[in-house]
Amino acid sequence: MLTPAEVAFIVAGIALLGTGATVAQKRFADRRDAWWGRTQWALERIIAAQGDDMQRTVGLVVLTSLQASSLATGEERRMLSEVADAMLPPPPSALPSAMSQ
Amino acid sequence: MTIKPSHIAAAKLKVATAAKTGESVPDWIRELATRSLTDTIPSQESLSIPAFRTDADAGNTNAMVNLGLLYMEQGEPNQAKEWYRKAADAGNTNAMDHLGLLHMEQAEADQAEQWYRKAADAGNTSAMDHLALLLRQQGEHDQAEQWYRRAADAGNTSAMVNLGFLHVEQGEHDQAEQWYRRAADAGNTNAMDRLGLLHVEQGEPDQAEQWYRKAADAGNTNAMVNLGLLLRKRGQADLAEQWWRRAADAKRSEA
Repeated sequence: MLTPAEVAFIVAGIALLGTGATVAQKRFADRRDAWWGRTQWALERIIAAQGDDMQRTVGLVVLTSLQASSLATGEERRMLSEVADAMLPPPPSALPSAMSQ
Repeated sequence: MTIKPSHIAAAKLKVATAAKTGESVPDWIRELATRSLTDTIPSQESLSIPAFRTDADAGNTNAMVNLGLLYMEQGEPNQAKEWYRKAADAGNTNAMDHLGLLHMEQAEADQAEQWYRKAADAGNTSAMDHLALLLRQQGEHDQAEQWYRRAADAGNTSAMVNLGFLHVEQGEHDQAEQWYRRAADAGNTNAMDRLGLLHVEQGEPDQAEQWYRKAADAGNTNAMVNLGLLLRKRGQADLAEQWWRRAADAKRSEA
């Protein structure tokens, strides 16, 4: 059975049907814009990093946080997964344990 | 091969995205992702504002806009306004558009209109769409339609959806469908949802279901609710509840 909160949400959703652009839609679009703006920034940081591993790492850490957002679509997560692929080292037989700075 | 911090960060990103998409990840990447970055790099929360700030202080107007968005998300509209204003004064039309939105949130419609107009006149299609919405709220339907049309003709899918809705209000369902279709073909899920509604109104539940399903699968919560309604009407109450539950879950995670 649905909880009272879920029923309230569905009723609210039904009440919106047939209206034009809603404030909720616009707010969602604004949050998406904000999400995408930060994603672009992080991607640019990675691309511009060249030999600067710290800059590249900063970009990847930000992307990891952004991909967890409900604002990210499946397609965007797959794109970010490909970015990760491009930044990974080649598959080793045994990874060294020491990390360089 | 020496392992760099970026390798570990990439592995963490790979594992995190895979957890959401269901993609399989080789064991060596999973092992790499377990290694710690905390000694080498600060958390995302602590680095975002300073990182944008550095670029913004150097005059990068896109960084100023991003900084404004970040302050908005943190509930600091005055700081956000300051950075939007700096970027807008330097000619960034996205900043003008965001300033308009901020003024709208603060119930300052006259100032919002000024910034929307400035950005729209400079060709920003999002500002055209927002200006049209404002004009519509003020009862200026002809002007609203003109701005929606300019934005839609320039490829703004939100304006296409809104223009479609204006046509629905005027009983012009064929024209509405054309605009909704254009936006839906470009991937706008609100347009897919509206196409579903249009087909319901025209007594075409199968076509409605196709559009609702397409939008719902892409994460549109209104479409999930509408699809549930359609399925319930057909007596498929269990399936309907599943979609409503998905919509409720999606809304909860957005909140």
